[in-house]
Parts: sequence; C-alpha cells; structure tokens
Amino acid sequence: MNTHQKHGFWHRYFFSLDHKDIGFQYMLTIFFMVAIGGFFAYVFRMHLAFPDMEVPLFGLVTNTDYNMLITNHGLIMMMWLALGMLLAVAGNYLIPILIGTDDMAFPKLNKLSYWFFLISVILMVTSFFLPKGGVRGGWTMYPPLSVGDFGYNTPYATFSDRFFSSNSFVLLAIVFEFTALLMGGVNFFVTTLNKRAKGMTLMKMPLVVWMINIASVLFMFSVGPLVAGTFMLLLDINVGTGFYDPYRGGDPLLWEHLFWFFGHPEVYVILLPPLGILAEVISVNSRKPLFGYKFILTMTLIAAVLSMMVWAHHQFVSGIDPRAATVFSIFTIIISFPFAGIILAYIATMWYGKLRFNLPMKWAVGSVVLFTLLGGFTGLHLGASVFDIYAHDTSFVVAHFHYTLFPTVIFGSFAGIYYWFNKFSGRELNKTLGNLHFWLTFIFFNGFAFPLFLLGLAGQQRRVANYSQIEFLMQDPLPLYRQIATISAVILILTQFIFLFNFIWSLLKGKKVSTDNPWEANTLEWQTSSPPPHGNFKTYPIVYHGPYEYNIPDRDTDFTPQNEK
Amino acid sequence: MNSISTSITETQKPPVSGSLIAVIMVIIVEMMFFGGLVSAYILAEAGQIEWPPAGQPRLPFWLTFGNMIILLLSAYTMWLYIHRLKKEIVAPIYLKLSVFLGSLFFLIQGYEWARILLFGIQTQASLFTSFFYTIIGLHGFHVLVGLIILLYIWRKMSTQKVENQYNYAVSAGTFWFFVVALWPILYSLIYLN
Ligand code: HEM
Ligand SMILES: [Cu+2]
Repeated sequence: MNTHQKHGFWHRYFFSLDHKDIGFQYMLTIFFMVAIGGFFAYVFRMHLAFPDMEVPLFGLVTNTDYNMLITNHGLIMMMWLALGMLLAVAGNYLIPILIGTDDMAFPKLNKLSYWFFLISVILMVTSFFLPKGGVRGGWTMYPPLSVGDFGYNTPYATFSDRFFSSNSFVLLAIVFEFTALLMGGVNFFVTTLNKRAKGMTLMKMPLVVWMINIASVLFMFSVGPLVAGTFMLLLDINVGTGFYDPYRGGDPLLWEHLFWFFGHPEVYVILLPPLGILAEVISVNSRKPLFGYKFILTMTLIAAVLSMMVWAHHQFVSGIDPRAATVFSIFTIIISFPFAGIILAYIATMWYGKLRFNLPMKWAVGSVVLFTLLGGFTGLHLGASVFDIYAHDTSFVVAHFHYTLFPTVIFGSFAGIYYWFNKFSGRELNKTLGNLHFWLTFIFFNGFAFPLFLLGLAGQQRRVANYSQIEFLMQDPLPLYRQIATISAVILILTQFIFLFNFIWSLLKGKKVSTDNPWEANTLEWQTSSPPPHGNFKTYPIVYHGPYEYNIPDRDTDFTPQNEK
Repeated sequence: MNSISTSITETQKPPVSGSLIAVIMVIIVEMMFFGGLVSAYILAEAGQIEWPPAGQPRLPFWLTFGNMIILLLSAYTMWLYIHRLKKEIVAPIYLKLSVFLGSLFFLIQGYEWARILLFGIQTQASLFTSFFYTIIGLHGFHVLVGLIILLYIWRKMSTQKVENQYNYAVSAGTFWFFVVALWPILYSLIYLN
C-alpha cells in the first residue's frame, strides 16, 4: 500500500485508514440514514395531525404503515444516528487529534469497524423491501410483536420465510452495528491509553476524550445482555426456540429486562459525548477554565455506574414487583444528581465569563437549556413510579425523550460540527445560514415537542395510528396541539436542508480559513494546520498545559495552547 | 499508508500492550454477554417446578466432566508456554499441546452436542433444550475462535522476536483462559442438577 499518489475518490471514501476519513465516511453514511428516519417522521406526523389525508410523497398511511414508520424511525435515530454520530463520528474525528497522535492504535480494525457499520446499514435498508415490509413492533422490539408474521403461531413457515423477513434482518443489522461500535470502542480506549502525546497526562486530556471513552466502556458493559437477547430472539424467529414464548415456558418479560439493561445505559452512552463537546465549546467561548474538571469526571463515573441499576423504570407497568419499582424509582431519582452537578458546572463555567455567542456556543447553550429545563427534569418525574404509572406510554414520554435526545444528539452534534468544521475542512461555514439554521431549529423543535407534553398529560397514548376514533382525544384543543406539533416538525425537517446546503456548499466552495485557530482555543487540534495532514501533525506536540487554561494572568494572550512552553 | 511512519508511539513503549487491553475489553463484553444468557437461564429454571422438565434427556455428566479436565489441562499448558516465554525460553510444544487438548475438547463436546441432536430433541422441544443448545453452542463457538487464534499464533511465532512472541502469547492466552474459565461455570449450571 505504499502508494505516494494523492488520495483519489475511492481511496478517500472506501479504503482510507486515516481516522479523519473514516469519521467522514461514518458521517455521510449516517446522514443517509437520518434522511430516511426524518422522512418517516414527516410521514407519520402528517398522518397523526391530518388523519385520512394522503400524505404528499407517500400517500395514504395505513395502520400497518404507521407502525412500520414509527418503529423504523425510532430504530434509525437511536441506533444509527445517536450511537453512530456520538461514538463513531465523534470518536474517530476527535480522539487521535485531541490527544496529539497520528491515528488510531489499530487503523485496520477501525476500517473494519466502518465496513461492519455499512453492512448493518445495508441490512437495515434492505429490510424495508422484504416481503411483508419493514418491522412494525416498536423500536424497543418487544416480543411477541418482534417475532413477526412468522411468529410462534405459524410453525409451518419455512426457514427462508423466517430468515428473509425484516425481523431477522433488523436484528442482524443491530448485531453488526454493535460489533462495529465495539471495534471502534476498543480502538478509542487503546488509543487513549497508549498513544497520548508526550506530557498529555490523563488529567490534561480534553473532557470530550474522557467522555467518549467512558461512553464506549459503558457501552461495552451494557451491550452484552442485549446482544444475548437479540441472539435468542433471532433463534426464536428462525429455528423455533421458545425463549420468549410463554406457551413453552419462556417469558416475554425477559426481553424487556435484557433490552433495558442495555437501553438505559445507552441513553447515557448517547448523553456523555455531547456533554464532552459542550465542555469544549463552552469553556472556549466563555474564555474561562472549565469549572470543576475533576468534579465533572467523578460525577460522570458515578452516573455511569448507577445507570446500570435503573433499567426497570421503563417497566413500571409491565407487572414488576412494586417493591422493586420503589427501588428503581429511588435509583432513578438519585441518578439525576450527578447530571445536575455537571450542568451546574457548565453554568458556573459561563458565569462571569467573557461570553462569545458564536454559532457553536449557541448550539451548546441551547442544548444545556433545553436538556435541563425539559429533558432531564421530566425524566425525574417519570422516574417516580407513582407518576409514571399515569404517564407511561403516553406522549409525555415521547416528549421527555425528544427533549433529552434532541438537545444532546442534534444540538450537541451541531455544536461539534459548527465548532470543528473549519478545522477538518479548512473552510468556513456560512454564518448567516448557520444562524438561520440554529434559530429555526430551536423554535420549531420546541413547537414540535412541547405540545406532546400537553397531549400526554391529557391522556394521549403513544403508538396509536389514528386518534380520530377516540372521542376524548378529539376534543379541543387537542387536535390543534397535534397540528402545531406536526407543522413545526415539518418546518424543523425542512430547516435541516439549510444546514445540508451550507455543509455541502461550504465543503466545496466555502471561504478558506484565514487562521488555524479561529476560536483561540487551547486544545491540540487547533495547533496544527486546517485541514490537518495525514498523520495530523508535522512534528509531534509535547504537552505542557491543561486543556482549559484561559485568561491566565501574566500572559499576553488570554489562551494558552496546550503545547506551548 | 502514504507517509513515512511518524507515529510517536514508536518511541514510547506503553506499559500494557494495546492488544492485551483490547483482549481484556473483549472479555468484558463477553462476560456481560454470557452473564445475560446465564441469568436468563437461571430465571427460566427458577420459574419451573422440575428442571430439566420431565421427558427431557439427562445430560452425560461424567463424560463432560472428563472433558472439562481436558480443557483445563489445555489452559495449564498454555500457561506453561507463556511462563517459559517470559523467561525467554521458547517451548512451542506447550502451545501445540494446548491446541491439541483444546481441539479434543471441541470434538468431544461437539460430538455430544450433535448426538443429543440426533436423539431427536429438536430445539423446538422445550425451553431447557433451547438453552442447552444456545449456551453450549455459543461456548463451542468461542472455543473454536480461541483455537483459531492459537493456531494463528503458532504460525506467527517462528518469524517473531521472543519479546513479541511473549506479547502475542499473553493476549491470545488471556482469551483462551477466559474461554476455559467459562466452562466450569456453564457446566455446573447446566449439567449439575
Ligand atoms: C437525567 C435523567 C433521566 C431520567 C431520570 C430519565 C427517566 C426516564 C424514565 C423513567 C423513562 C420511562 C418512561 C416510561 O416509559 O414510562 C424514560 C424514557 C426514556 N428516556 Fe429518559 N431519563 C433521563 C434521561 C434521558 C436521557 C439523557 C435520554 C437520552 C439521551 C433519555 C431517553 C429516553 C428514552 C428514549 C425513553 C423512552 C423509551 C421508550 O419507551 O421508547 N432519557 N426516561
Ligand atoms: Cu431509562
């Protein structure tokens, strides 16, 4: 492979071993998945607000279609967007360069990880086109729904009927994707431990590196049972074992436990990397050291451990023992404390800082505000089983998790993209379009998600295809709320095209950056050229300072690059 | 790769080799994976009055016990092999013994697995056999992977410096120890009733 010619298209997009290229491949693949997931959301939201209307670009939505759309929307957004973006993309782009090294510890494994991810995407997309259509059992895949049309009651379906069904394909896709993320996670961890630049002690690492690593390790600790569960579900579908079949002594609740044992830690796997990104963005743009670096780390580790003891808060109404419900309630409420601590540390960082409200900072602050006020806060309510028994499976839960996921996954990723774009592309994003994108997203996200709280409190169950036959849900103003939510969601989706245009246009034709360190940041990636060369640095940096030494007295600049003597 | 190797790690020697860390992380995942299976099994067992249910075959206790000894021996020879390497003595015979004993285990266990299958117990038969096939089969699969890794090491050894040989052997050996250590647990859960 010792070719010295310039990277061609195929090389860059398919065979490169460079961590930045692999990150880019992940990102493009994920954009593709998000387009599908977003389109599905558009269709079913339209259907909910205007039942019986033909949805433009789709047509009439049957109940079966509806189930398929919400299920795959959830799966795509949780599994491929959230996990992919925040572990694979962020980890690949950021870890090697932020710790001052040339590449991952195992570049080939990294490449393999992307290929597995690609296979998972292909399996997922193929599943829509198989006979009987895409999966329809909800993104949580509870059996017996997820056993599908050839479930326990049709023993005479052939093996190929069962195997070439969306249910099998989606489960396989998930196994492939998780394998990809595991390979990535191993790589991140080994890279972080063994390849740091000289002088980069663990406590001098930027927080985002910590966060991605903790998230990866948490992922590893929690994913095993789900993979086991997935495997058993695959066997149930394909060879007729009865793990989840009560008729043969199995138990469908087993799946709920295996799923949520992973599922709850997963939401922290998703949450931690954006918290890391926010730490970078907020500290740089407050021109102040990050408040409580070690405190934040401790809180994160506590939360990571606790996150494995709260899973049954998703099952309060699944017939679990009320005494157990109390225990899980208490742990769920306790787990909010560390996160409250972290958020307070971010606010303390901004306190009396010389705030720069540039685009990354807007996304970061927007993320903190929405996540805290409406996301985490409503989680606390749901964690109390007394309230959850009423709110479970209503739109209130949908609103809760959109207020947690959107600020972290979407706002967090955008904070990162707007922050690092000029580093990795060597060009600038257009600011006007960027501002438009931010404000429209901020407004219409709330317009979409807030009414769901009200609808949920009014008793609107989720996963119902058509509310028009349920009389009390058709009373004013509930249909209006649904329409507000839908129209906002449509505008929200359209707004993302502004970003897409800005992204592509700036990548190809944007203004070239005038300086390598436009935000005047300390971390190592800003001390190399934009875009960084293959190998990231011309000469390898030696680190003398922590990542957040802003406004240190007796210095001519208000920042102190980590590698400056 | 396109540029000359500029990696800084070449000048810095990490205290724990990357491949060993990777193996340990894989083992963590595997432990949680089997942990999930085993807790599912225990829960299923707790929900039944008679286990294994009436009409289900009793598993060959002593044969499997002997087989377990074989597997444990293979771990012991692997340990000897690594231990010699540490003292810079290359003794490939121990590696070969490990591969041989491991394969023997795999064959005997696979024979037993297939034989029970041929008795006509299909996976559909009951929850107990479902678990039997899944857990034992998955462990067998891990043994197979472990053996492939050992064979890979075997091939790689002759071309390597002793120090590298040691690193390879430790990483591969750690995985093998894990696979071996898993068996007594599974054995006591499934065969001892
Ligand atoms: C900070 C503290 C949090 C607490 C106390 C909390 C609590 C809860 C509870 C009790 C439920 C179950 C509601 C029900 O089904 O009845 C729930 C659902 C959910 N939460 Fe959270 N949550 C928190 C943060 C998060 C975060 C950070 C995320 C994602 C980034 C998240 C994502 C979700 C999702 C996706 C669901 C719904 C799953 C489903 O049934 O489809 N939560 N949360
Ligand atoms: Cu949860």
